[in-house]
Amino acid sequence: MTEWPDPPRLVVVDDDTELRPVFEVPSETLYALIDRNRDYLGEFLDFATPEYALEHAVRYADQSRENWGRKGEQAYAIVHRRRPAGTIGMHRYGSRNRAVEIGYWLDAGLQGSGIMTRSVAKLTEVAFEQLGVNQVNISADVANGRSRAVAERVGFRFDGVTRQWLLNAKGKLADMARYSLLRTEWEENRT
Amino acid sequence: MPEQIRVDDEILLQRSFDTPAEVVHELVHQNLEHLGRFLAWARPDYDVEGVRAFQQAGRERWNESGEHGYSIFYRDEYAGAIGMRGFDSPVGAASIGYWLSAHLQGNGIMTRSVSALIRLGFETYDLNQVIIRAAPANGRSRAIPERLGFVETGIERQMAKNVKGEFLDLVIYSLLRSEWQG
Repeated sequence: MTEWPDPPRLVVVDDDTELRPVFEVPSETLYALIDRNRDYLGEFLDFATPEYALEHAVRYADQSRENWGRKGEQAYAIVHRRRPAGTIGMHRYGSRNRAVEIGYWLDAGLQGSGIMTRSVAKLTEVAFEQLGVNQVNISADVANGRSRAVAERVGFRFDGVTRQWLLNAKGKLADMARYSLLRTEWEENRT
Repeated sequence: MPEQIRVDDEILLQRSFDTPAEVVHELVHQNLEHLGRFLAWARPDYDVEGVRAFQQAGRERWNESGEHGYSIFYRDEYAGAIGMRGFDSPVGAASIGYWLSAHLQGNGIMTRSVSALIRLGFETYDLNQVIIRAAPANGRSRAIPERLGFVETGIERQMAKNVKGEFLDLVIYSLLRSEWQG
């Protein structure tokens, strides 16, 4: 399979949670959420710098609309009880072998309720069953225990570390823990 | 990067697309079995036209995306290839890939060539780290980063294919500028 099917515009995670294209959520709302979480996001992610402004959120939405479904790329807002709670996105990983990487962040106030674990599990299912990928990857700052725990709970395997790989918003060059889940493992877990 | 790199008295690196396609084709075909274990492109139907197309793509990448492929000459004989890419990395991480003709292995050709590119990367192009990937079963390829002091940091599963279309894992090695012994 060389073509990438169109990704679903709506992914229902559970009764309270759904994923919608990030450009369908008002950028002002998403920006307000990022602004509220800026300090905590900046510890582990690159975009949440002190300079991050509404215009960056608007540009991100525009780019996401443009790249939607293009070669396995798609960015969703996590909508929990009708409010944006974070984002989860997918893009190609490596140049061949139909691998994707999933990245995500969640409002600090909503952590600990399983929203992200369920969202990652659901998007992983979409990747394997609707988009026909061969493997899904996740990488997280080695010090980001919560993010790593999500990958581990969903059944991803720890593959090692890439050193000094992400310049986060605090200006630190972080080592990333890498996880992967292969189609064969996914199919095994399903039965 | 320079069009030509003099590694030492015996080894010269030259832009890969400056080597006649027929010369590349001949050596690849002498090494089909050797290369096909770990490289997807080393197929029996890889013809001179295929080499030319690869060289043309290499010329474009050289200019546009900062990916630099070199032919390796050992005592004036075409011996294999080595390339470096990732100069556009926001964290200064470039990776090196290579192959060498089976009949020239054991002369330290690749170790010296890789070492020269690392020096250039750290000293001239301000890289922060160099990464090398090799299939777990490719002991000769793995021996090179190990000899040069790289750290094995993990694997990428099913990230490459061999000539039969079978998936291969890749072992990841990296060397940070702070670890480099010069």
